[in-house]
Amino acid sequence: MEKDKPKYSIKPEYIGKEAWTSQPPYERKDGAKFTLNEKLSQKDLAFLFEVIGYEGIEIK
Amino acid sequence: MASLTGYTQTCALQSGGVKKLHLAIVADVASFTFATPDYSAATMVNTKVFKEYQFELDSFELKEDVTIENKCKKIVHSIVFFLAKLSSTLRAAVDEIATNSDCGLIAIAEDNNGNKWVLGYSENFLKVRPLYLKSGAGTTGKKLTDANGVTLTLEAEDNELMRLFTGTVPIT
Repeated sequence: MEKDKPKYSIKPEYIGKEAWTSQPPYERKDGAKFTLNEKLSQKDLAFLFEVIGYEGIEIK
Repeated sequence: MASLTGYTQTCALQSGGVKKLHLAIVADVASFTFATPDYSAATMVNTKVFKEYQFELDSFELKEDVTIENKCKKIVHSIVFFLAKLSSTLRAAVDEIATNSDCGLIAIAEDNNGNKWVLGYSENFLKVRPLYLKSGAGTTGKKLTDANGVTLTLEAEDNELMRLFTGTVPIT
């Protein structure tokens, strides 16, 4: 069975920057600070895109 | 076509004044995320953060003055606050604000109702019209009971009213 492809990705021009948002509704080590790199989970990216409306995330 | 929607007053207690000020130099802030009508996130250049400037209790005033001339709108945002007791440390704090006013500053000021306001950044101008130090008036006072310290005034001109920041202030 084919694994689901990641849905969200970081726009290249935002990689390396840090986004500070409201506290996400789930536990994460860095709390409201999101360092925009490959370590962010799809859950993090979904929160940034869907809840925050963050402009540095796009749907693949 | 322009229209009015009115305004409904809510019955709730409120407080005047400001309790926290955070400043960043323009180069350290990449952008704010606009989620109508507020800012929902702040994006910082890698590892850069805002710095807190503590001030004398009840000395801080944030003002916003709207004027229309020749059918053109201008809004002056200003913050005025007092840093008590002249010292080398205070000298350094005032000097760094003055020095970094060459390219400008962006502020997040939290009022005593818990609302965080962004100053020196707007949707119309982004980082082009930041805050600048307008004056830093230091005094020893004259009498034993006079205030000793510096009153700082920072100001930015724009054509947009300030917006709320609903995110977490980038500090550490």
